[in-house]
Amino acid sequence: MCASRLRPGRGPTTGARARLRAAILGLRTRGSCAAAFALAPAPAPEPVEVVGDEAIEPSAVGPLDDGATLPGTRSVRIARIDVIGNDQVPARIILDPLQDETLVADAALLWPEDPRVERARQRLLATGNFERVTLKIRPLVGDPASVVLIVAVEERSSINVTDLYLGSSRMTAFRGGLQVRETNFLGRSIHIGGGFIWGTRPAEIPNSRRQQGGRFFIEAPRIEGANFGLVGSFYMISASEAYRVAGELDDPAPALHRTVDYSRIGGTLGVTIPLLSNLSIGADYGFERVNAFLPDDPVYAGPEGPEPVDLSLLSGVRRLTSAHLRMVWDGRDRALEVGKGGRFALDVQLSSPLIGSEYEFIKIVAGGSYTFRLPWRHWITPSIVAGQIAGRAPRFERFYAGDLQDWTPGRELGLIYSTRSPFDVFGTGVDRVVLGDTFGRIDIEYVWPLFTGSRVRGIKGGHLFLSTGVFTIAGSAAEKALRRDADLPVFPAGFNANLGLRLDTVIGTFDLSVGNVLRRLPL
Amino acid sequence: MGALVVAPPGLGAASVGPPGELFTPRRMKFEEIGDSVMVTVAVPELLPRGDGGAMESIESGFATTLRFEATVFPTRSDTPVGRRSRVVKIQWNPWRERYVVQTTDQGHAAAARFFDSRDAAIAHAVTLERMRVSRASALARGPQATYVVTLIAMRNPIDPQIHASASGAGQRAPDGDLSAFSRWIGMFVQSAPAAEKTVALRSSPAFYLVQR
Repeated sequence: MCASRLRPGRGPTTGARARLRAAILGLRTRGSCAAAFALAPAPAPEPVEVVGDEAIEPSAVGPLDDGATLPGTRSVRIARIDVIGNDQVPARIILDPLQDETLVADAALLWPEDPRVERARQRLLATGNFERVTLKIRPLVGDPASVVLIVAVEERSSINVTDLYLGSSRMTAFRGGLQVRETNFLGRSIHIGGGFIWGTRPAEIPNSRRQQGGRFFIEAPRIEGANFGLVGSFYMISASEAYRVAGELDDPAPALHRTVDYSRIGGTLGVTIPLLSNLSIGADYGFERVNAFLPDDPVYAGPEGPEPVDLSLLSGVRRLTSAHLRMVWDGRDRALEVGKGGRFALDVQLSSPLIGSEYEFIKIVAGGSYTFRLPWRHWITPSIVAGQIAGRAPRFERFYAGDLQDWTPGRELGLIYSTRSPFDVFGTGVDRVVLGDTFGRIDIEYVWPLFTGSRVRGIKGGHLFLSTGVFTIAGSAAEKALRRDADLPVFPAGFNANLGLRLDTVIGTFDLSVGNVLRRLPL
Repeated sequence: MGALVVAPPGLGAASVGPPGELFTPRRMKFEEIGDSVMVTVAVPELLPRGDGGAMESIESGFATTLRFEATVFPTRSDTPVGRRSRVVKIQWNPWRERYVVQTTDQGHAAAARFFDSRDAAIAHAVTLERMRVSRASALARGPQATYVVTLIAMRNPIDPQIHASASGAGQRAPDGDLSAFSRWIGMFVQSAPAAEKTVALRSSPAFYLVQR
């Protein structure tokens, strides 16, 4: 047996390993394959350092990472700087990092190596605006002490598809739309984007309407010369949301529902302040006009008799304003390097007559996760997200149960296109909850990095992922009391799991997963 | 002076190395010289002739940096027993119109060679010729102690600190739907390139030091 026929990449069992060792020893003694595996004694030690083929002694250099210098360092003058290859990004934006490194016309430049050149190149790459940046020098004809410094760039697509809405449900035969983000608008690192969604009219629900919405936003993550960023958004939503009027509480049949129509038009203005390199806070003010067309006396005809339905909306045209405070700690930037990292976000929203609103509530959502690289280079990431609402929030601000399970459609651009609540794996009655004021979710995700880079243009990497978790959601005090009376857990537990392939592409991250398929099907 | 014997492949090692990199098995030549274990291997895919960007970088007049990091692991173990790095800089001299390839091994002085032909300069730059990867005395001997070498080769490595400081803005959690918020919280491992190009190799078959 020749060892070259053994399969690579498999850890043999003890017995197999012993046989393999025997095979090696056999090779050495029999010699049939020995030429391929048993090397002859190495030649006598000889200098490994190779000296140049010209009579120029290499320079002695310091430690490896100290920026070793090539022989014959000289100082040259930058006669001018040319920028080539840029279409979207203005030259002055490209020249900024060079100026920061004092690489300007008439400045001195060290050759063959000047650490400022590599720093400027990497700063340009780090903007995310370029696929490739090359700094070149060309000696000036007739003046060997002067050079032209050329900055050659290849711009990259700065448009990301952040959400792709496409699916069908028992309530809405078709819904579709997308959301995109351009991260380098006018070459100024301004983020601009928006999205839309449109759905067909729910055929089985009388007097229902199509649901559609759109959103536009603009964000300057960092204002030039200031240590803060600004953000603004505008949205319009036309909703026709289902509520139950008959049948079992876990029956998603659309015919057992009616719709409540409302429209929202509004926007936000906010500021983001980076406190530390990984920690930022933000404050937004949101304002919108809510126009709700409530049915007269909405009633659920349940097995216990008719019960009034709380639609969590104020009738007519109302003003909803809110103050948003956010805090984000993002410690992922060195995760790949050190093998661990975390992320935490806290979001507090307050709406009150004190700030001009006709609704009064406070909503807190917090989430955090921590990732670890396992010894075999896979990653495991536990995460927890929880939220609580106090007061009477409008229904579109309440927590939606469909958001908590990967198999069911969640809210998309603020709209709900399904009558399906989460699948009740544990038999706790979680499929009877639609909207809640309290939720909690714990997940753990296992990620197997498959590849980085790809021969397929546009695909930057791929990971297999497997996640599982549990969640709970509970309604208002009145809704909890009803569950208690029905001998159902007040905080029903639900199960979640997902499995799939996550692709990093030049236009965004795409999940090809079981959950992603299920939540787009009319289950 | 001793000899090395390559062991059958597949004894671990497939999973060692940095995240997100697939280690391609590659035959490497091992030698024991004095107290050093040397490896010889070529990584031509680091500077393919058809890569316009790489060729442009070489001819820019500034150095294109190749960084090689070789790590020795006992098979079936993730604990390295030896690690060495080498930095190779390849550069066009626009005044003298020739290529310079400078090699710096960890803890050693640099050595330079000069070439008129770009292809010859590239071939020299991407070939590790007898790179020391470990002390022989640090390794056990005999066929029961097999080792593999992983090699991470990078072209123009990216400084993570510069990358983090320049792209640190915009850490806003997404507005809107709770599922987007949860997804944002939980998503971690994405492809952050560590270099313009990275090639990850592992020696196959493995090797062991023969008994003296």
